[in-house]
Amino acid sequence: MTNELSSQALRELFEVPFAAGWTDGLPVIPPTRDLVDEFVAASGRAADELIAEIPPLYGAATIEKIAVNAVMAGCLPEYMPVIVTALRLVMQDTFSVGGMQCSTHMSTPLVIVHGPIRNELGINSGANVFGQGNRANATIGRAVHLALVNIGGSFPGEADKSTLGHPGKYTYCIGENEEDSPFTPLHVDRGLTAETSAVTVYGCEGPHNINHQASRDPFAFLTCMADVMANLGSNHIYIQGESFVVLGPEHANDLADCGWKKPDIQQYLFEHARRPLRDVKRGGIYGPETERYNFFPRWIDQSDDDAMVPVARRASDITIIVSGGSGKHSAYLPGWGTRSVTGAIL
Amino acid sequence: MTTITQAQERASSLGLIDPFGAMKAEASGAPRLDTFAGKRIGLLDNRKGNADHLLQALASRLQTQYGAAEIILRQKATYSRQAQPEILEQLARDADFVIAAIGD
Repeated sequence: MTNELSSQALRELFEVPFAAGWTDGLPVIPPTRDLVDEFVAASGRAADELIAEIPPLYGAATIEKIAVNAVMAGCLPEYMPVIVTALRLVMQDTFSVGGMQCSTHMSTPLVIVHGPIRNELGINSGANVFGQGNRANATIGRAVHLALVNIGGSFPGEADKSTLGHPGKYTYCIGENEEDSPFTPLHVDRGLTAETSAVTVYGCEGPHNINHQASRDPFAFLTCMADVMANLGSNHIYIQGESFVVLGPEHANDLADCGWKKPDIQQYLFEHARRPLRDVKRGGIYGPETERYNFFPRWIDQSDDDAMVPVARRASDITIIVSGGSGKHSAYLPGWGTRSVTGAIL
Repeated sequence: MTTITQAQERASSLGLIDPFGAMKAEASGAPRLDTFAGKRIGLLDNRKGNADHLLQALASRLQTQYGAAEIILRQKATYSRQAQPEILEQLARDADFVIAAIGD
């Protein structure tokens, strides 16, 4: 590597990846051989180890190619295990990443990090968790998305048919706030030990804020949450599936102070985040064109306009995590309709 | 103006590693048929609205106007998941060409 780089040469290193179609629209760190090798070494795996063949074009996501995208994203080498795990998990059949990468819908993978690795890598689980300012969150999320697009071939306007997209397609990575949560973290709910570092991937829209400051009464807060969830514009009112509730720590603790636990919250939301069939017929995705793919639970009486259509088939499909900082805000993350996947960082 | 290919070559000459993955198979089109006459029509219905009507209308036209042969119609379980391997295997084996629909 040269010790003296002219201004012009330096500028070319940053312009060429743009011209070569390698970037997400933002500048990237030039992926030199020595940087890529350093990231491969940090992964603890061989450069040619195949992690996934990413759809839609089934490009080979080897450790080396993942490392290239991680370098470009601005990562530190020690982020590699998180990135590799996320890319491995999205390939699970029930996540349906191929469909998601090409859909007209805006959903895109969110990476949620659990366990001790959050503190080891400085991953933010607190204030402004969905926002900017933290290198680990920003670049881990970005590396995953660059890899999905560059290796999988889902370039916007080509295989990626997304009508609107959303900013999470640049980067979308948060830590679960275990320290300020009164509840068990998601990876523990799913069978891992608290000390196991893990990743969850969930394909979803951007966060929809739940601004609830008026009362600490669980029913008041959850009425607000249920109202946001039962909107006619997200996929869940017509295909159900799994969706995520992100409780800010203050809301989570208000609920826990009244004795509520996650299953109680899930049950309430399952029962109350519903719309009468009449509303869905009037303004939702329902009608002759959708008869061929109407997958309402069979216990919804579709001859009854007063039947209450849920956003989930069962209470356990409303997944709850705690994240964020102080303040009376929580969020709903509508998804695409497929399943999140949680796995240990190996 | 630099083309993408020229830029990629320049990137390589600068010692930069490209971020793309090797494709499993060459992404190329199937060999073009010389005629539809006598050819078996594969139809892959993804269950989106009106995909069935569109496919049937196309197939009928190909039969009446172009002499295409029988139809092999298969339907995916749902549009958002890949077709079951058995469906794709049957279409590859029993059809001379396949039309898939519908992309919204």
